[in-house]
Amino acid sequence: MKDFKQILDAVKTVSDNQTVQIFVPSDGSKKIFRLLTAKQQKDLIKTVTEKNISPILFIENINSIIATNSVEKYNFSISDRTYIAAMLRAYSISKDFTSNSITVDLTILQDNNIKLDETVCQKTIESSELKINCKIPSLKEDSAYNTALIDVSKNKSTAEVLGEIFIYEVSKYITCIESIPLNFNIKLDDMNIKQRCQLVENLPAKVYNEVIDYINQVRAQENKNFTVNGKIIDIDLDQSFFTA
Amino acid sequence: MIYCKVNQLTLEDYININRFIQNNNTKHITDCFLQVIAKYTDYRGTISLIDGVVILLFLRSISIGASTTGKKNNVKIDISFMPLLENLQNLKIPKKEIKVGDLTAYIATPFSFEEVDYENFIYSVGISRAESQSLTVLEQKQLFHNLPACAVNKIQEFVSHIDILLASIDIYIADEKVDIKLLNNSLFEYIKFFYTENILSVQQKIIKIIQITQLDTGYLLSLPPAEINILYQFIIDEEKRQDNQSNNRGTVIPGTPRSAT
Repeated sequence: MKDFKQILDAVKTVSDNQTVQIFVPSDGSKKIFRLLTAKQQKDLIKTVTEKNISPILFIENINSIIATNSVEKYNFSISDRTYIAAMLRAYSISKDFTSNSITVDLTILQDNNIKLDETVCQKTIESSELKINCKIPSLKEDSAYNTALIDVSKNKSTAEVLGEIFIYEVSKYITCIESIPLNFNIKLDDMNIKQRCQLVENLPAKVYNEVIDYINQVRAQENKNFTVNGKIIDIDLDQSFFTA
Repeated sequence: MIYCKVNQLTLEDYININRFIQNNNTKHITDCFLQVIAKYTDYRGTISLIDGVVILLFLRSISIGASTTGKKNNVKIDISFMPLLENLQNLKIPKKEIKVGDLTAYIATPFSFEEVDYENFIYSVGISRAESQSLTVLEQKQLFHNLPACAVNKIQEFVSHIDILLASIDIYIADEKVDIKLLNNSLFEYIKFFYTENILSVQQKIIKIIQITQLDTGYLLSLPPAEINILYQFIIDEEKRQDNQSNNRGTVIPGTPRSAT
């Protein structure tokens, strides 16, 4: 009979050595990841019990898992998240994913190694008075927004939280707002999250919608890695995705 | 399925269980049942929920009886738990395990009527089942945190499998089918239902027995509740018999020889 510490060390070693190479779209290369542990899977599923902030907590958990399980330190982008999460799920829990009564083998996605197109990584949106610089945020930047959003969303109704999520989502893609006629150039990094969202909320609707168009272009790019035989495998990254 | 020796429950402990149930604190009731199992059986391992329920129903059947009085349409009816006990005893619970390198972690349903976490299902670990060692709650947690993610799936599969087995058991209380599931508290409610007898009537019976027989209270509390009922019934019958005798004596016709009455 071994003592418990020896058993625990043996289990840790086995878990640490279970790794998989996953393609990272923003870098265009494969990186080594440790597989999910039981605790990580349980924590992801458990976020469903949180009322309003459940989707934010869930995404925050995914961000944290990607950072923790990556053997190599790298500044992952939001556009890497769904693909890495899908691959971690396929290799750690089950390769079979059922959506709309159709079961898909997620491991077929491992051959989809399409690097994120440089043209969508950054974009400048211009109107008569404003120039908006957009960029795909990193997971680290996303986490900063998530933390602020969790704070703001406490004690709010679901409808109010959904509104906040929308503004925060758009804000995280904007890096700089410039106006030559009005003589200002604001880097959003220099402001706190609340101020950034207030600024974005007050953008003209036309400009705001162009930012949303840009986000949709980024999503379309991300989907390329989920396309098999011309069809997109539609993955809703939520708690149910991590139950086999 | 486990095999163990089960002794009869004393009235004193039965009254204690009733008090815990009346207080309605799930943690305290769980602890109380675990203590009862430890006191009245020779089983000394980690007990699973189904095995614990089987022991408690069996203990109830030998100490109090296998049925209780319920009501249906305001009419008193007898409700027996023997069908459930027999079905639970015949359940073939699958043996689930998680392989981690050379080690194997074994899964069992924890004996708890409170909400349980996935980590509570990992009850032992070792190279083989024979060599496996039971884990403390803290060790369960530490081990679970480092197991591969498939552990959660194995536990979910285990729970679903037992639920499928339980769903095949047809149990009715007053013509209403009881939906027995592993984690929906139905087994807890069932056990509570059969361990909630009218304590007041038992206490009244004890007072009556003491008044008539002068028997020691401590002695009566050490008897199983079923024997109290037998003793009480015997005393009542004896009282009636004596009443009948004295009534008969009162109707004796003067001058008639006693042997003729």
